[in-house]
Amino acid sequence: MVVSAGQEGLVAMAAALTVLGTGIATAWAEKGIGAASVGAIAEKPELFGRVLPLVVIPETIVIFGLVIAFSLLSNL
Amino acid sequence: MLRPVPMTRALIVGPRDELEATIERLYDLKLLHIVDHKEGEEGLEIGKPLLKASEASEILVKLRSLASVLQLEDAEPAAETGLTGDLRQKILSLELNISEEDTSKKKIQSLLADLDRKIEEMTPFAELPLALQDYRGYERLEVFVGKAPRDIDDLDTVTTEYEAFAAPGLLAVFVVKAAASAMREFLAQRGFTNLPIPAGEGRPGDLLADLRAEKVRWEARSKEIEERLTTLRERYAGFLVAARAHLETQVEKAEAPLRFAVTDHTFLVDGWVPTAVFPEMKGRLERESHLLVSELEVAAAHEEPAVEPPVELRNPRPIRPFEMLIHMFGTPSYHELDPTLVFSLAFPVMFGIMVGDLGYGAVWVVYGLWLLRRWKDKPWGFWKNLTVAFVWGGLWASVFGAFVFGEAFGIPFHAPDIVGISRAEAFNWSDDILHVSIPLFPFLEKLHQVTDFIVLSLAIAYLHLSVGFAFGVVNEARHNPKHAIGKVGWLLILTGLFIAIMDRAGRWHGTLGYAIWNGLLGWVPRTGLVQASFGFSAANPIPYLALAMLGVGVVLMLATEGFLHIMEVFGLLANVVSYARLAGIGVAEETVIFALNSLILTSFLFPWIDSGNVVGLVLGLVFVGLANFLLFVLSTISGAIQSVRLNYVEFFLKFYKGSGTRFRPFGLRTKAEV
Repeated sequence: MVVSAGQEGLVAMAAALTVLGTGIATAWAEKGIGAASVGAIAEKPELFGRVLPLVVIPETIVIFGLVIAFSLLSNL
Repeated sequence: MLRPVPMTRALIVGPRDELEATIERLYDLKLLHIVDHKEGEEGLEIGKPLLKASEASEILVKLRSLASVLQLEDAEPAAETGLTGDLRQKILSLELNISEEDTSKKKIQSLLADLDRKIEEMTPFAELPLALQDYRGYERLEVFVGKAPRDIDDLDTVTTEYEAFAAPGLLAVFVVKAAASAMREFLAQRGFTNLPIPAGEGRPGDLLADLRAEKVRWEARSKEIEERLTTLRERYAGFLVAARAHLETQVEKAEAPLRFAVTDHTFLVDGWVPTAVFPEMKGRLERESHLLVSELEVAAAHEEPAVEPPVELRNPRPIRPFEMLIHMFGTPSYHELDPTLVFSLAFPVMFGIMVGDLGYGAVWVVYGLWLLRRWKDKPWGFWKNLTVAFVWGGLWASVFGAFVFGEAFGIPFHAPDIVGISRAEAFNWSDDILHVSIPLFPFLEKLHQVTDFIVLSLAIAYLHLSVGFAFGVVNEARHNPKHAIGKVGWLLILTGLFIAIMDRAGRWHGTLGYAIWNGLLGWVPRTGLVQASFGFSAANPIPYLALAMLGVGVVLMLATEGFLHIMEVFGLLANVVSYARLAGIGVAEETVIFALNSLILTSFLFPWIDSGNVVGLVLGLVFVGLANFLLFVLSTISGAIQSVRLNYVEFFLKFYKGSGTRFRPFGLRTKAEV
């Protein structure tokens, strides 16, 4: 894709929106998991190690956003 | 290293009158992982607990309640010699003592809570100049006493037939009943809240003094009891802990027959023994008693139902702490490869890439080794194992920080090779701090080569995941060859995807993608399919080889695993991209420390360099310390969590079932079980 002069701003906006959207999505997903995890840990503290990776599972979403944003900014 | 300790299934048969002696022998041997016999299986009943079981467990219950009253969790056990004499007698008399103290302690605590409540009620009234009886017993008057957030002085606007007494934050109003509701409303609007009038008569100040004196008296009593309990704890803690361990052993032994099969005259014990020590165990048991120990034939893994031996992992000492993180996900089954070795490489390497800083890495190595030295005599628990993992991670972080990213404590070794950057951006170790050129140059600058960093992450994804599929092939090969072929299909799909991605990433000269595409992947034939809309131009077409791999892989996968798995090809692509978090976390942390460093440099340290402002130096160093501490903690937490996640989710789900049971020989008790 060739970006004509004066349109770099749109590309930057697109990158920003990608990170914004995926960031919110991740936060939303982690909100529920986090609350449930804290509940589980309160009941059984030894679950801490098992629960921790679960909480970060939705972080993949924002990683996708990051990759797309950098692809937009650098390569296209 | 990749296989657990081989196990042999042993069957021990003996006459019933040797049951008790056999339990003692097995307990001392600590070699047999007993397989519980189920009632009625093969027409055999389970045994009955030995007679001493009920008495021992009864005392044990009492002992545990004593231990909780005395808060004995971390007390050291006394020597076993202290356990002579009648244990039951000792514990019962001790219980009498302690439970009496405990009851009085609880009564006094509730009394004190009651007093506290009364004192709290009375305190505001002591501020007002009236006796308690003055607030009660009027026919024509209504009384409002309560807290007023601010002075309320225009009561006259409601009625003139009132009398008011005020103290700071308090107000008591006596008003004729006719105007009471208007007054109530007026006060409520000004944030007035009613207080209950305490029962009793007399001046609140005197009553309050009485209550406080009473409280002091009971507190003294409570302290006395507390002291007596402390003395009891000091005197008996060792004894109680040792007695508890002793009794728990007794109970475990006495209840062991519940796990055996019995007939009228014999008993049978079924269990697993490490193959290496089986002959020794057999010899000893048969020599010392009238037992018959034989080796049972075990169905091979591919026969159903496969009998799963318990698993005892064996790894060299330096990587053994990683076994904890494997068990946390699930103990490997006896028939699958032990992933500890790969995990012990992948976890620290990924941690190292995400932290990627010589400073933080070195701090972890030094701090971790210091902690391990301090904990030399402690048993291997969660934190100790984790510390070893962090020391390894710190080592790799130092390596990556020194040779790949070229930075320490968020400050690069050399100024980035870019014109027109700010003074803070150009701040570096060689020119500004050490004044010696560090002979290490960055291979990849985190802040300026994000795309390269992502490409590096994807390359690591390929390495990691292909090892996962290779493990899958080996695991399935002996179990189900069809699934093994399916895993080969997945490996081909992964390779095809990787080649296509690297082809796309290698379009520009001087990038890491270019280096991989023309270096490591230089052997891939360049002819291929032009797909300009996806960015695969005539100069860089999608290689036919990659397409062929994808095609063959998909066919193999469909043939062995079914049509629905086609969706998982996209899942695999998502898994590969998920490794970009290595770059994401690395860059994010670098950005944060860079921002903090820039602020501190321009506000405090540059003024010191330029004009010798000592305040700037002191404040600057304090803030530099804080910022680095913050980043050190942050990068450790996110590095560890994300690296564990990549291993658990992306890597393990490719091949690992983790459905095994751990080898727990009879007689060996871990601290957690105590």
